[in-house]
Amino acid sequence: MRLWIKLAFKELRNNSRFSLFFILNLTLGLVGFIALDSFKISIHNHIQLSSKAFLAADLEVSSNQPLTLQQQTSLEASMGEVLQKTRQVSFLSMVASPQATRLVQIIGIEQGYPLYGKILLKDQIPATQDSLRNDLLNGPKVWVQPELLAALNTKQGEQLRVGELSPQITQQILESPGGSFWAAQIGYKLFMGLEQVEKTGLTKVGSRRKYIYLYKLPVNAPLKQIRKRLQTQIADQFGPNSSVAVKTHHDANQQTKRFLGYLNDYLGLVSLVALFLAGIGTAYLFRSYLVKKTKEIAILLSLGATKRETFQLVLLQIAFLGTASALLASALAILFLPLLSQVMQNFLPKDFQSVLSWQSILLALGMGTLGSVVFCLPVLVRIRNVKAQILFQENQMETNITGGFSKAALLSYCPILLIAWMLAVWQSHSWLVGSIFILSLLASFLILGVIGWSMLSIVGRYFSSSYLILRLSFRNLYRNRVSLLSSFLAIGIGALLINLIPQVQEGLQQEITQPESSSLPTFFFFDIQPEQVDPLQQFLEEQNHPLNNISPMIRARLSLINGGTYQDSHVHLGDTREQEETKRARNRAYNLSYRLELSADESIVEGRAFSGTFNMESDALPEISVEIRFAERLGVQLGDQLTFDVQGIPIEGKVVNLRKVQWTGFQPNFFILFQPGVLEQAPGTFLATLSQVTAQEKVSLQNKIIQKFANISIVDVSRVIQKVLDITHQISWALQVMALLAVFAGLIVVYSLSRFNAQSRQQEINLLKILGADFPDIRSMILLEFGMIGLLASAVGALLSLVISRLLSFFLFESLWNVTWSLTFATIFGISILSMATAYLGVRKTLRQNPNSLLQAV
Amino acid sequence: MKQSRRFHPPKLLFLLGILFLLNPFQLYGATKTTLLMLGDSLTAGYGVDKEQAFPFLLQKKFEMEGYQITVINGGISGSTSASALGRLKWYSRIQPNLLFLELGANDGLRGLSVESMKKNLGKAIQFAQAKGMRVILAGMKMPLNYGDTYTKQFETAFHELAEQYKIPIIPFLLEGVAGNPQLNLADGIHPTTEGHRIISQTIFKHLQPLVKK
Repeated sequence: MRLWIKLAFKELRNNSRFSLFFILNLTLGLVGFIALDSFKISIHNHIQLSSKAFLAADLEVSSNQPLTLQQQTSLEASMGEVLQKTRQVSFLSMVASPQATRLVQIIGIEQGYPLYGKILLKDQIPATQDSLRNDLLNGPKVWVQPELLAALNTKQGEQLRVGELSPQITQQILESPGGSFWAAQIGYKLFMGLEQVEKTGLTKVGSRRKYIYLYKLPVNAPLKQIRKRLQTQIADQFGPNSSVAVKTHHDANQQTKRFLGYLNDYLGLVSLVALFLAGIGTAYLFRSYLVKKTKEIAILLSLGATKRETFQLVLLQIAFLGTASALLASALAILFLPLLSQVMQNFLPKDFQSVLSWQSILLALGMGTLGSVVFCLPVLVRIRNVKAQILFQENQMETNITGGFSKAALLSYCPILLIAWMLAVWQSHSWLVGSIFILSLLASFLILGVIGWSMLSIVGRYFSSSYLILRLSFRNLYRNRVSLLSSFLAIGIGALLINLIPQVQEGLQQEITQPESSSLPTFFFFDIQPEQVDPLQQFLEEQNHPLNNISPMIRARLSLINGGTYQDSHVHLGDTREQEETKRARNRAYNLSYRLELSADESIVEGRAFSGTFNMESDALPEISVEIRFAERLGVQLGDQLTFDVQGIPIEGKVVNLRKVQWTGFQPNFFILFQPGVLEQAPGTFLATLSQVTAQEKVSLQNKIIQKFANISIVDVSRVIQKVLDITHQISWALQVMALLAVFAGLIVVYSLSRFNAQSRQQEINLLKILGADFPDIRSMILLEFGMIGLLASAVGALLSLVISRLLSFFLFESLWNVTWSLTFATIFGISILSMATAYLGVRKTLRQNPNSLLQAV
Repeated sequence: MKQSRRFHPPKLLFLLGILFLLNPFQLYGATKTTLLMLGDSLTAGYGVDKEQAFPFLLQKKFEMEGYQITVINGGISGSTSASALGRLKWYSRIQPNLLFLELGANDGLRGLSVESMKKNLGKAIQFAQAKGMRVILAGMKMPLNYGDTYTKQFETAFHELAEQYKIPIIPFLLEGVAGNPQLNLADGIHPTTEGHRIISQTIFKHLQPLVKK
């Protein structure tokens, strides 16, 4: 045994240049993997923090009644470890200054709030726990939003009347955690101490308030599971109809919730891609190494070595090289990644913490060591029958060891598949995604293999160009088709993986991209009466703030689908959850609207636009447009007839189109739209928005409107929108950066593959040189060859990635997908150029070398 | 296509109007009452099935007691007193002879001016009386968190209206229901099925003297 180890190392040492070259290539790929994977984890952490700041906690339990200490303790027992807890009470109330009375959202807090995020006071100074203790929580004091001061026509330092208490205003709050869209800002916020709130007498029995218990849990706490557990416990303990509810920070905002979900799955995909890029690179390098060693194995065998000993020797070498590369990659990552994030600081969001993930390093180490053996097993199984006679064949050994699929050969692939599958599931945290990914990769391998093989065969056999270089390189392609096939596969899969992430990103990006910020509303007006629309519009015109998006809103119940197929709307005990959901959706009252043109946030997915205003004389039914996701929920399709009960009167219409709505536009949009001319007479109210109102103008404008139109409710949505935008911007940034990094890491792998390829052509080039071929000819030949392989492989790979990304977006991202040919072509072009450039550099080096090296023994 | 012609909505609306105009039984028959319940989410039955909301329960109750009555559920969730007059005009074409007016709760919840709520409801009552409808007003209270001044002002407004227009009033529609977690949905303000049953009894008590057998 010792002898074999010695021999193994001696050989590596003798081939030190090649060994080093191998290690460097592998290291490069693994560093790319660690960087990508670590960065992904950093981004995930960062956005989690933003999302937690939304709720001010990891987890929230809320109730209309205060929970007893016993109830609290029993719920907390289901949370696992609780790091910190703070209580809160929140309600609406009329608050008065000597000058005015206003509806205000009162929030009673205690020490510790907020557990995440921060309260920003006047002059952008963050509130500390000390300032809470010494100021707000110390006596009858309140902190209010600056708008409230203006609305109540009062100043900081003055007193307010809050229930039975007359607290003093001691601070102004510019920013605070929390923010669901609709509960938003019907009243501006007023913070006070929890104990003080009790003294106002506003929270006695008979008042409508919400008690909130905020919890900070350990970083790795399984929030979803905890929430589920608590929900069951609450149903048991408080009954199914209780007001006690649990929320994780993910649930804090519907819009960000969906996007955070997308991001999570997207990052899962990035991990997979990173892993498989590294895997492909590693596997390719190991296999090529082994193929190169076949001759030596044959020599050893013919000298009388046993197979076991020979394989041990080779495996030992491979494992050593792999381990060395993995260690080197880890060391480089540990040394340089913090440096890199320092350099990139200007491009990173504020407070971004880049972490070096030990998980990624461990994976890289595992891939370098265990991976080496697993990847090489199939090759070893095939060369177990290697004969000494191949020593006398030139160039034929590859055919010998690659051809033929025995049972054992097929079996030898099983460990790779199994490990790859397990890793995929683990990295993506999902059985479904991991399995889809593996299956589609497997299918891609087969497709690439078939296409590659046939192309290489055809090219050599039928293309006999009169140009020597062309003929030579085509012949070369044919002659080397076995080894070229594996590089074709590697580059193809590489191109697939490189293109996959940006391709998925494109669809998501479009979904969450925000419209121009100028069109984002500051105020939402609702409950505008029909007769108020004109006067209000005129009034605001005079104030230089034209009203936007004036939309009628008519309340109606959906009573029939297709004239009666839908009758059973009651939820029964035996219904599945899906059935129940559909029924509930059908049973609810909806807000209908009508307009001829679609808004800027809408686009028709299926069907046609409205034909115009409804013609009373025609026989046709009124036309309806339904939002596509809503249609799915209702089970409604194009051409269906819907009957609505519009306040006692049935109105029927036909679905002529399904519409997609970009809800991030924050414009009033409706699930169901009628064409004009149908609902105008029905009683309804109007919604509208007002944009671009400066902070200074906000309150005075609001006051003026309230004076003139007392019934109109005005909601200040600017802060909530800003918060949602902040998170979506970060998500959008994360999508882009990860796509870019994935491409970059992918190109590194392709580069290292091509370099290795070019290197292995050295001998052939030397041979041609000796035979007297022109240097430019040799160069052109190599360029043509690598260019063709690069082009074909990346084209097939990129096309496959379109299919796979479409598949993944169907399962993960509600089919948000757009084909982006520019991207696809850029990938194909980039990879071809890269593989040619790498080859060119390799060839240039070889051409400069003394051909004598060929004559030296291997 | 023929079938769809039957459901032609504007024509239908028109026909419906004609139908009511031409039906002498409905118009002049003193035995039949058409009760319009104009209200907000409470009347609409937010969160419960249509058949469990108090307008439907009342219809059943009156029928059981041998009354001929048509109850129309004119409840719209989230609606305020400002919409009362416009909606009343929409329904006046079906000629209700009894109006149950249940609006104002959303005005209160949104902290709107009590004065303007009073004006809005007053206009609706005037219009109804001019059309020969008898009106019954549903009194409402605000949760205590809105503060003493506002809640008192709000509650009194309904009684002042009843006095001004000489109409009967149900002092508090949610009597025995409001504030009881067992009788309200998780949001704390919308009644459960059982809550609706109690409300229907409260209304029945006050409404019975106004409906002819």
